[in-house]
Amino acid sequence: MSISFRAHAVRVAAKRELRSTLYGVGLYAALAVIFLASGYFFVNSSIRSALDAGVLALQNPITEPFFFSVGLAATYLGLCSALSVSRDRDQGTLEVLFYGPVDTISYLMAKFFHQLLAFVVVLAFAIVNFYVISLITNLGFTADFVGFLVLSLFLTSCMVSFGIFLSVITRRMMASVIAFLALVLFFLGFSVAHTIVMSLPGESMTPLLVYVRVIIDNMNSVMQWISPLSYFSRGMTAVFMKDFGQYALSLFSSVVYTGILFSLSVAIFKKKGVRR
Amino acid sequence: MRLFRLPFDRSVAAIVVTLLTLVLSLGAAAQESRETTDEDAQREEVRRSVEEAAGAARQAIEAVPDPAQAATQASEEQLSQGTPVREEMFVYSLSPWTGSAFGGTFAPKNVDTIFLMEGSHSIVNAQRTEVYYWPITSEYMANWFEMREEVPGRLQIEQNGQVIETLERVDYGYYYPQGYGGPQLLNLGEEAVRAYDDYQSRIDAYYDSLTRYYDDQRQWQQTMDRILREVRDTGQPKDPDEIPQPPTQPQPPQDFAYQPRQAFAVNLPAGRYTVKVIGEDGNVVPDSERTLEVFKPRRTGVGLGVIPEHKWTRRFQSNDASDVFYLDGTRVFYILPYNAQEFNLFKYAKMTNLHKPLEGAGTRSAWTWVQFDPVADATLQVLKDGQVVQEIRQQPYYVKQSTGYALGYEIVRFDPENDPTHEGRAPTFEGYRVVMQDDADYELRFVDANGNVLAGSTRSVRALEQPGGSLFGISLIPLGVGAIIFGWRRSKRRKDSSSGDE
Amino acid sequence: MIETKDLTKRYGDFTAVSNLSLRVEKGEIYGFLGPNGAGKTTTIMMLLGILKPTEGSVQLFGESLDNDYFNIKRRIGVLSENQYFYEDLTAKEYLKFFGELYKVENVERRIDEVMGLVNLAKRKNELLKGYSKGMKQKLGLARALLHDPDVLILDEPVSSLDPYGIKEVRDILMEENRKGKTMFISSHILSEIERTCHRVGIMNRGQLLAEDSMSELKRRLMDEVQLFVELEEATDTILKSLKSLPFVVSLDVTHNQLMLKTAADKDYRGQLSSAITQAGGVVIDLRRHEMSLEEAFVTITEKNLSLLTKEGPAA
Repeated sequence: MSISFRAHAVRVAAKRELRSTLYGVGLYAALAVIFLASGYFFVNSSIRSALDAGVLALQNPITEPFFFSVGLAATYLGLCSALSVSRDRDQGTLEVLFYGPVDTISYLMAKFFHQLLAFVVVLAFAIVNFYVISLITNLGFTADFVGFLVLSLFLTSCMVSFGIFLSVITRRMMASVIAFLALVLFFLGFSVAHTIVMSLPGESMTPLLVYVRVIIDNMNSVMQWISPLSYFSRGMTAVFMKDFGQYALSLFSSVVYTGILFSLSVAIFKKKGVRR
Repeated sequence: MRLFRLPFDRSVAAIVVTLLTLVLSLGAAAQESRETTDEDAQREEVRRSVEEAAGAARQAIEAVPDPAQAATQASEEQLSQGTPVREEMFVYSLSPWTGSAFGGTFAPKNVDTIFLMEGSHSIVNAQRTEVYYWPITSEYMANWFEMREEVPGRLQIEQNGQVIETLERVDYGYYYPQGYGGPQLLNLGEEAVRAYDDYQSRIDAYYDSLTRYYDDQRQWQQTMDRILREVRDTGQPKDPDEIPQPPTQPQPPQDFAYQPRQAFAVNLPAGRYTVKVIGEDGNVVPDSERTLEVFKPRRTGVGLGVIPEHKWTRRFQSNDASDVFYLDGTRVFYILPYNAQEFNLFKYAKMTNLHKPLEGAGTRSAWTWVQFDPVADATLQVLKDGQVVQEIRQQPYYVKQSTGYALGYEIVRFDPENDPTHEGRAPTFEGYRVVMQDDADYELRFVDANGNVLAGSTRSVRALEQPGGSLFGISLIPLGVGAIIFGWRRSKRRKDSSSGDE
Repeated sequence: MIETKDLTKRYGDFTAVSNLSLRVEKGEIYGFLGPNGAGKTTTIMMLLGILKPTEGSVQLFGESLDNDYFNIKRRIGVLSENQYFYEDLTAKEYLKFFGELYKVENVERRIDEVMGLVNLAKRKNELLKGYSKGMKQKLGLARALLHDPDVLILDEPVSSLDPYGIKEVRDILMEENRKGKTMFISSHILSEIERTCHRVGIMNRGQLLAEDSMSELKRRLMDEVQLFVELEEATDTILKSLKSLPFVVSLDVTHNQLMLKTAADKDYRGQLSSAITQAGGVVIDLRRHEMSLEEAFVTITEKNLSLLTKEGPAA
């Protein structure tokens, strides 16, 4: 009985939030900026490199900017999630919702599904954007793209649950935003540092640099379970590998990650309550 | 048994040089002997020289160290310095199969995990030696020359607490059918002994035939001297049938075989194991219990080395079949295919460098493509809309340096028969010349002699188009949609307010 | 409909609500009074399940919220003290959202009804960010009524309204009560409570000090009754006669106007009138002075009368 009521509350609350997102300008502006950036930094640079070399091998030149775009869009939605609970609490709208047939689980699930649905809209824009790019550049879609589409939903799921988690544990909007941005930047910076260090040729490394690499590699073994970006990265590798088992596993681990963060969010939310 | 090229490491090169020196000294000895006047003495001298050379060669062959020893042997200079302190310990000496050759390393007692590759035998031995750390190169070295004691016993392999295999030492020997630097084989058991005996008998036969050759050569020379004298004395030319053919110099065996030794030959499926040596008393030899990780490649494919004709120096490699080749206009390029496998960098590096603590450190999450032998006997197919439109065979090419002020190069077909500048030269590379039009999208793939597509050899080729400003224009689509929705909602609200919806 | 038992909420050493036991019957309008910090809002939040009680229990419709959370919540309408809205929505969109949340049938029609009820029908398509405080309060009431709940829990329902608005809301609440709705109203506008509530509970420092009907509460608060008498002429005979009456505690005279205090055990106005007449006096006016709710509220909360603790239900 309560499941159907809860599902109803989730549906209605998520719909309202989605409508609010779609009626605002934030999402569209963010997407335009993201697409511009991905067009400039990835598509344009790939094309210039290929034109410069005459012939060049590129691995999924559409997927890279797509990943960049959906990654940023997911981060944007994660940031919105990080804002959402603390904003509701700050503005008091959270309390009003809880006067009615809304409980912690349905409220947080509504937040979660709202962002996931918003991401479906993002995906629609991304597909159009990159399809048109592929047409005008002949960069071409690959079959992998479908895998990335599905995967990106799970990345968003991780990102949003991460955002909601931060939003629940912080009291104020500003604290949520700072915490989210700081952590995502840290994860991103770490990921970049890890990639760079891993790509350095071993022969030319000084012992100090080797020790730095060991530290980063060890940190990475922990970070890959904490950072929401790692889940997407693992899934991407699985797609490149055409390894369905790993792909399914990465999706599953994303679900587990989401589930754990969601459960923690519910527990902490219940402990902290809905009042300001 | 595997056939691949062996990296030319210094110790092995030294052996080859020794052998060549011996053969040359043999020739010199024979030449010198020709100048003596006493025939019997000459014959005896040649025989003795050849025997000496053969003995030296045999000694040299027997003294060839195994790869583990060759790679980790402490130098005289290091040993003479005496610091840091050498420590006698149990070690595993290892000659792991790397996919192209047998590497060499050893696992001192502080190394708890040994790495081997799946799918081929690798050589593992339990030994005691003196080990010390050489800080200058950050590696452990072993004093194999002065101390190399085999630890008797069996190698017990366990997985999940269960003994899955117990290995006794077997004879093993490396064999190079095309000579040193060529493909390498590992022979085990009787085959190793047979291969070595066969090689030795052919070496012996070679020296015997060499002795005979010098005898025949001397006799032929004497006959020729006599004929020349007769022609000079009579002024009459000889019938060509009367002139004898010179003897043919025998060729030494081109292959090479190691003298068999004994060790454990390990060949396991990928997984994590525990290895330990069970001594003759039935107890585990101290310090012999280690983790053995047998790994396999993450991906196997055909890597393509690509040389653009117009930019010889801008060559690149494509290991991943999901790579797409993008062209700007019609382009000519050369493809050099090779077999490639992708491994975890840490495991692959550690496999042959256990004695180097820093080697591969911090690369547990990194992957690397390893390039192996070139793909042989393949045909490159060019496909358009799924249909083969062209088949290209491998050809030799020569990179010709341009002369004059405009320094540059030109890639031409290597053709020593028709081009005199190629005479006496070797081709710069052998590859597949592809002329790609920018009129459509194509696909490249390699097929073997039976027409089977080589897995991982397919690449898409697409002609790029320059998008210009439209690339950024389409990024603004979301803003347009947002503006439409905003306007629609605003007008709807106004309409609702002004209509009867109150 | 609403029942709490030993409801307690503590924040560390501070006890916001202590052993609160109250009961609101079906169809009743219950006024919940108390000074700032008395624990009223904390109590309401515990009733709604928004705050978890440290001890004690809450039952709504005879059920604990834990047992049937969603069904119970759908039968309650709540108007909070402060109004919080999604300001990017119009009033209609806002109510539609809550209508869907509460599964209101014919939601568009119902929105028109409640917006009409609170006299905001003409403004329903305006964005909420343009609404005044009073409009928002009325919209909050509309939201609380939207799903036709059985119980209304109202926290300061008229605090931001002008007198006209207050009357509007009062009329709405009386009408809804007439239709059978139970109400639990917390307010600091005591006159409104006095006018609308059947029973009141008075909280102070987390404790329910008094809970009863208005008249009974006032009666219990008064040990003497003040009577105002205006005579045609206040003669000495009359005054002497009155002073000799055993139930008269004191007597003050100003011209022809008398202020008497009598015992509160019964109504002595008849005996008083008869005594004046017998002494030759003519009564022009005779009135009993009633204690207002404000006076009762102040008396109870400031003096914490032991009288109440002896007799009343509160501890």
